[in-house]
Amino acid sequence: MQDILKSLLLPLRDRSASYLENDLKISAKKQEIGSKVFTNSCSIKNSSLLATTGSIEVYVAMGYDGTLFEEIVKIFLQGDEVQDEELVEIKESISCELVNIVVGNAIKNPIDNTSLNITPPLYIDEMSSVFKDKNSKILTTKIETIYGNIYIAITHPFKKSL
Amino acid sequence: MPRVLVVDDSLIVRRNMQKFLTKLSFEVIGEAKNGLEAIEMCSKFSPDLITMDITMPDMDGITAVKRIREFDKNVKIIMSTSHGQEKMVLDSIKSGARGYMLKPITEEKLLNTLKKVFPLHRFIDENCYKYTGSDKPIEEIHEIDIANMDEEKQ
Repeated sequence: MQDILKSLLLPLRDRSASYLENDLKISAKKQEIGSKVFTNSCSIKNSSLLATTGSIEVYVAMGYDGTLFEEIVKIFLQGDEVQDEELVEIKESISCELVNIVVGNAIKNPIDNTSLNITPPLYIDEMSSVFKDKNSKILTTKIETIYGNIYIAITHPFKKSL
Repeated sequence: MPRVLVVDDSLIVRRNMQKFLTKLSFEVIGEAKNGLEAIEMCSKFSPDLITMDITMPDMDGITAVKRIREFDKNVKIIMSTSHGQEKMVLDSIKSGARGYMLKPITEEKLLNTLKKVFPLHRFIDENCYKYTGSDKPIEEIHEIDIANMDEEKQ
């Protein structure tokens, strides 16, 4: 089961790095994959979550260090000025769109190469709010940039926490 | 000026799509956050073009396109999605879409897709705003050719 999660997470990590470098022009350094249980003390903010449906069902969440996320927001806004009340909603939609792009572009069934569908993304802000079940296998990885890190977590569905 | 309905559940995508389209002298007449809103707005405003996301809450884009095709055979529809799988592309085309864009959407990608969906039209290059195919001043061409795009039916 962990092998499947790893096979799913690797292309997500690679796509995140290539998206940062090629589309957002931010140098990125990929890190190894490990397992982790999130607690309230490990705060990963600006996070969004989506699920895959079809032959493999998993949850994928992506979160960002603050400075990196602000840099990404700046790139998406292309110099436009935005009122404070709208900015909150825009930031949430950017977080959701990032996980949508990365997972939608990269995910497929690693066993038979068939496609997996994805649900619309959901903004969860704090990754530990859903990824904290000690009984679940949770694999994580991160991509380092000069502005901070992107964190990606993947797990099978766990009803207790959601 | 072609009238466009932008459909996507993401605020930032709707916002940037509107910006790109306006730059190309399209008139964005409305935005919808899901397939249900898209059907309602299409029925109300009869746009010339719809950019339609696929994965949305309440009703997905492919279902919405099928419903729209039941009452509007003419509107041009371009799908946009993060999915690049062949099946998704085929489903979109079968449902009645004319074009397909893989997210992330850039101005260049949008322009290239629009050129395929409107093959008889001439576009101003969005990067340098240099028009090819005419000696008319840029501003004049911008007004004349882009404004008449919807009249040059395929």
